[in-house]
Amino acid sequence: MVLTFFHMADIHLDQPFSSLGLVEGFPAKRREEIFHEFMRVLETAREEQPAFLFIAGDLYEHGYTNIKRISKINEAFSKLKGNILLISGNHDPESKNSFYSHFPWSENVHVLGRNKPNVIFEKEKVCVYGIGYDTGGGQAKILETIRTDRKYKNVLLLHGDVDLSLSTYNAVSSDMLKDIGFDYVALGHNHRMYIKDNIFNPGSLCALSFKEEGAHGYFKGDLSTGEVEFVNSKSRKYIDLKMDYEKLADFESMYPDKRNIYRIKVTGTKSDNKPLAIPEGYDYVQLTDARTAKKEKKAQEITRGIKGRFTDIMTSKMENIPSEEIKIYEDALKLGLQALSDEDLDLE
Amino acid sequence: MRIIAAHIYGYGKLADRTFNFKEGLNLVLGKNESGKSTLMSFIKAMLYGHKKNEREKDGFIPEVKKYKPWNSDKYGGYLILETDEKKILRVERDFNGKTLSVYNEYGEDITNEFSFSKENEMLGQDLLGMDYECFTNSSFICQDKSLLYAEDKEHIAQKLMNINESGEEQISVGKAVKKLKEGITLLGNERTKGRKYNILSAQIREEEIKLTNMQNENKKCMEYLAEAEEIKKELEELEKEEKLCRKSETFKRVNENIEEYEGYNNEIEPLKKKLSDTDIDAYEKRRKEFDTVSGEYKEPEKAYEKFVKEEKRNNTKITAFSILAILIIITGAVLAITTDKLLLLSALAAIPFIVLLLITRKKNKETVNEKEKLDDIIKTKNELEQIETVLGNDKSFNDLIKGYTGLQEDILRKEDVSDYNALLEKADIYNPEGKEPSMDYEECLNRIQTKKVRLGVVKAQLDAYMNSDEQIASQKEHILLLEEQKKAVGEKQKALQCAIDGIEEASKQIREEIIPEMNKNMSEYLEKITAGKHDNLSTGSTMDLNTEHNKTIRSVYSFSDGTLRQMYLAFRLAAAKVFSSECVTPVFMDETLVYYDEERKKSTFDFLYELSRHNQILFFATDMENFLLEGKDIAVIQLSK
Repeated sequence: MVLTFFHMADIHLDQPFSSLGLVEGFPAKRREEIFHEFMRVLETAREEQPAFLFIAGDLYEHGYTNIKRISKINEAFSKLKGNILLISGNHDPESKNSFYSHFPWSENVHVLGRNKPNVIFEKEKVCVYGIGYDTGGGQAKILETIRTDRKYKNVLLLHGDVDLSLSTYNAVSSDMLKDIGFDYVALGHNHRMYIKDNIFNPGSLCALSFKEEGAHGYFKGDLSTGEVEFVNSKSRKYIDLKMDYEKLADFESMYPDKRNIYRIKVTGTKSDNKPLAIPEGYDYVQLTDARTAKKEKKAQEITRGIKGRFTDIMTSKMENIPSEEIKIYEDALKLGLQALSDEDLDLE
Repeated sequence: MRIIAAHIYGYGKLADRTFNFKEGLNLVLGKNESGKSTLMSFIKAMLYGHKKNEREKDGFIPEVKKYKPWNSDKYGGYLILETDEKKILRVERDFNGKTLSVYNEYGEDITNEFSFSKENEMLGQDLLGMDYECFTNSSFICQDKSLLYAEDKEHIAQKLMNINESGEEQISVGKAVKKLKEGITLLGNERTKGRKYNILSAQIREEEIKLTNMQNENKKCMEYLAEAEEIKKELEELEKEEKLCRKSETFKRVNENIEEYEGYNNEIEPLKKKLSDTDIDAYEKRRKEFDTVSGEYKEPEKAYEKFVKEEKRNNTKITAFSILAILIIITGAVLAITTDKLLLLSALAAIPFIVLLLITRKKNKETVNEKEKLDDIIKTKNELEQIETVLGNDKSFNDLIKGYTGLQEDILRKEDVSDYNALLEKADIYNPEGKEPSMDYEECLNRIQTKKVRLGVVKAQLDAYMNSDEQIASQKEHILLLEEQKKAVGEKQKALQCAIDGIEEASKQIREEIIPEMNKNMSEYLEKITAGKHDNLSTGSTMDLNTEHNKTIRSVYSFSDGTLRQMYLAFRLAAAKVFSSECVTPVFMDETLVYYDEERKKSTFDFLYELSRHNQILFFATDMENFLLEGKDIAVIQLSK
């Protein structure tokens, strides 16, 4: 029997994107894009008809997702021929009141967790276990009680970390999972895609921050043959760059994809106070001016008045402070010079 | 450095003019409006360029605009300079194109060798070792309007105080620090009201309340979902209970009906037993035959009576005729025997009676036949009537049976079954088998109704949530943006504090490094300018400027305007020396001695002449008294209108 499946995790629907606040309306746009990408995968599932769809936690943001969103998801689920297996994650934990607990999910949706640790599909001869996350913490202890039956293909949905002993999120060892005898471990939680033996972590469906530059998407495979492939999602990428000011002019030719979300730390020497010019036509480019002020001649070489001395003092302080504080010192320099020139202070 | 020559292509009112300067003291004389200030401005602009970003406001005209040539398209000129290293340079500027070029004596462009010149056209910084601020605060002593009014001691004193703090007369550290501190206060903190910090804090609080409300609404939505689920479960239970109630009630009712049904059976059975086995067909046949036979007798009983009477009458007649005949015969016989035989013949008289007898007998036989026939008819009639009575009874019984059967059929119809067995089966089907409902049917229905009403309310609420477009994440982002702004206020305050610390540190450096040197030079110059009347111009930690006079320390405020002006000049010249450090700086002076008395003029001018052995001095004045010039080698450049 063909036992095809899709496996995704960490979609984080309705996550706030405060870091994208530079362009007005962009965070909301990004949220909708992620939702549409998720729905696009469900549409693919509708066409390809996998027997199972595994979602290994953090489908949505508990504090931010509303019933309207959940209803749309459920409607899409109900159109799938296969079974949908869900577990909770640390962002959508199993709790007294949650959409997982009380939403009238479609009949083909199975929410696994503390109350329903596994489900057996006799026709397909598949047993799926689910270890999610609830408000009380991880549910990984349940693993100790699991005894797999070899007459079934055994699948584990786990929202947690594998081989990360310091993690507090359902930290389990790959050896333990191997000993229990799962045929496929559908992992979620870590946003970076990785595969270890039969443990598959798809990472977040779409990149959610500048820390998530690698591949993003979902796995599809067949439990009967053990074949698994990674499918890249079509969402924009986050690109975090460090560029010398001199090379900024080449940015457009180096990075022609204007849909991606760029953060560029501009390095080099600052020869004037002109603000950095944002490349035109791009959806989102965040420039951080990390240029260092051009070192002027030292006080020993030239005698300076208070403005010069003050500038020297501030510039030398800037050389010895963490980069995140440089802006404060640059501002301090500007404000100090304004005050010394008896000009209005720029307090905006 | 010294200036050898200045050529102006066009600058203010001056166009295509060359001025040659010597080493030492150069006296530039000219009436008012002859271009002294223009020439000074030209030299300053050639060295430092025009101040950038100056805006025209409140009657102030930026220099770049103010000195736009009146009669020439060319805006600029060149200076021929000799550096401290005795190199000759030609400095050329075009103020229109804002270009600066420096050429060496071989005509090579060496602008790039001067770092400040290359970047911001501050050639003076390279050549004089002073930035623009220092230059204008020291060796470039132009006509200061504030000094035209000698009574403005406070102003001059303030400048001296500024120098003490900042090394520059125009800059007050105290004022700058105060301004920065005001900035910190203006932005506000937790203890202030109505400031940016407070406004943002209030906005954040307000938006957080909104966020909490939105999240609470979302929680409520989940609670409604939980409630809907719970109600559905309860309804399922109640509907089971309702079924059990209905089952139990049906079972009870069916049993009652069975009992009633069977009760009717008990009524029907005896009635059935009472029914005769009369053959209705035979009866009807007999009746038909009888009706045919008895058709001629409307009243057979009366006819019968008539025949009985007739028979009786006939029998009486027969008896009478017989008796008469016998009596005649006997009489004849008796007569014959007794009287005459012939009289036997008299017996013949009996014959008519015998005939009558015979006739009557025959007639009576017919009557008897008729009577017997009638008797049969009457008997049959009676029998038929008896049968009819029985049949009438049967009908009554049958009617009763039919009635009971009808009631039984009503029961079957009511229970929607075809027959008694089906009724029994129904009882079996609805047998609750010992399960008793926990409430009565009515209460169960009431509870179901109540639950359904609540479910309706809950579903309506959920529909409302379903139609809501509220984005909780957007609200959170809005708050985070406000928090960023609040953080920026904190950072701005931190920046202001850093600026204060930096300025105070710079001020401290100046006090520690510059001021002692300034004090030394000021004292030296003041002594020379005042011909030994004053010396030891100094400052202390109180920021007060004092001078030692006749072994006592006095505040500069206590001196006359003239002395105060000399002190000011001493400080400017001292500043020029201190700030220029290793470089030899030309000194530019505009009408410096105009408010001095003769004695002061002399001592000051003598001092300047002495100073000009070291520094080139360009002294601009309307005129100069001869007694000041006597015995001095001075180049005089006359400016004409």
